[in-house]
Amino acid sequence: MYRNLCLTLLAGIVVLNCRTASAQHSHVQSASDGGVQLSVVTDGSKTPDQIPDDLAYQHFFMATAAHQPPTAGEQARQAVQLFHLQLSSADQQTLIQGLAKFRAQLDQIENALGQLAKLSTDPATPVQIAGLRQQEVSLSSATLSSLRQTMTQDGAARLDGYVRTHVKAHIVILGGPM
Amino acid sequence: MPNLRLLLLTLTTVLGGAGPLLGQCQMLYNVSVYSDGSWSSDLSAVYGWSNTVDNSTLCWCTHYSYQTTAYLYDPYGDQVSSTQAGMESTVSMAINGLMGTYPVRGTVAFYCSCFGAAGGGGPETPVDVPIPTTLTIVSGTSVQSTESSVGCPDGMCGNRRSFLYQVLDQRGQPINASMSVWDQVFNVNGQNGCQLNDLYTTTCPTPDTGPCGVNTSSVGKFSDSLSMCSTHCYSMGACSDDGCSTTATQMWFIAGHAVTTDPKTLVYKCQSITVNGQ
Repeated sequence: MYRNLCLTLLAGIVVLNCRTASAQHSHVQSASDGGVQLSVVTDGSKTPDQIPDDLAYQHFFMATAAHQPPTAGEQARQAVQLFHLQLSSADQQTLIQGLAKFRAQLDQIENALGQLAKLSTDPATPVQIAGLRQQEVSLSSATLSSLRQTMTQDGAARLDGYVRTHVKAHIVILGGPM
Repeated sequence: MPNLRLLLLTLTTVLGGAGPLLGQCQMLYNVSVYSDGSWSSDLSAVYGWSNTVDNSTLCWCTHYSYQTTAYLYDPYGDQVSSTQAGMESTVSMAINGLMGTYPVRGTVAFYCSCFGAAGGGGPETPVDVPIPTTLTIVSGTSVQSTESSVGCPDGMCGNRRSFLYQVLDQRGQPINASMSVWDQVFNVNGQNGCQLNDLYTTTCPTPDTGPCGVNTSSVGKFSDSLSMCSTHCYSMGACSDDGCSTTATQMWFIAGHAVTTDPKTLVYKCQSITVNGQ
């Protein structure tokens, strides 16, 4: 009985700790609809150096990747996105192929995350989600490494310049502690 | 007795502040949103997109039911948006000649098992669709033909002038896009001394009423060809020049946008055709 009482108290601490932290946080605000409105803690248009390169590439790959074969909508959207990189046709084709592989693997990870979302009360779920999120980061890194090996030096430099100067300026990081 | 010790230890922990011990894992939101946009290579459509990466420290919480929304506004402030389940969303809008700034914005909403609904987004960022503002004749491309090579009907003579135009934006920079091109020619002041009527040509067949299948190259260049034939340029069985002159105004339409900032004044004469005096 004492053991159960202790465990109950410990669980209570967790909840209290969680709720107290929630009340003390400084970077989030209650939204009018009762949800938490996350604030911008890093604005890439003002401090692009605070946006990590790997994060910027992950966003860029997600935005530009299309399935193989792409739908008409994906193809049109991708053409618009890649147009301003001014890559050679060979480099652009290499990039498109690399992005298609990225998309296929990203879909698998996102599907797995979707399945886990249905198990949100399972204590093991947060650990599994963290693992899958790490897989996404690794996938992005692997895609970048592969592109740097297969694109020309000029193409890789153009891509890098675009991501560092343009993409970062369009990223914000939201959040803060709870 | 051991159980009593455990209870005392637990109470001590509670009263002594277990936060630092148990709170070593603190839920930390870290959600990044990328919002961007661009215009199509023919300047016919503008796209906006947004995606989300959630690098939050979850501890014992989970985040799920993500919804990502991309908003796109036209220069008048009219909005289209697309909300999609998951981490990505794309939206598009036809330009229809309405060049200018199209702001784009992205937001994300999701559910946290510990703290409930959460969400946010970045500021609007502008997507500047270049405005075709001027057409400049590319240096060294102008060719003025002789009267005899134009192929006028019997009893008429005339001339032709060809050159490359380049479309520049409001900053005077070339627009690197493959855009539809057509023009309208008006004899606004009735200065039609050569009595050209329909016997002149420009890029599109006369009468010009809309796109005629001509596009600029991918760097915004296109060929214009002006010609004229007139009885005033023919006399006694041969080409001649009685000094006639016809003045007209040419209005260009680039990707559906009327280039009202740069109407061209065309002066047709028997041996030359000038554009804005050049």
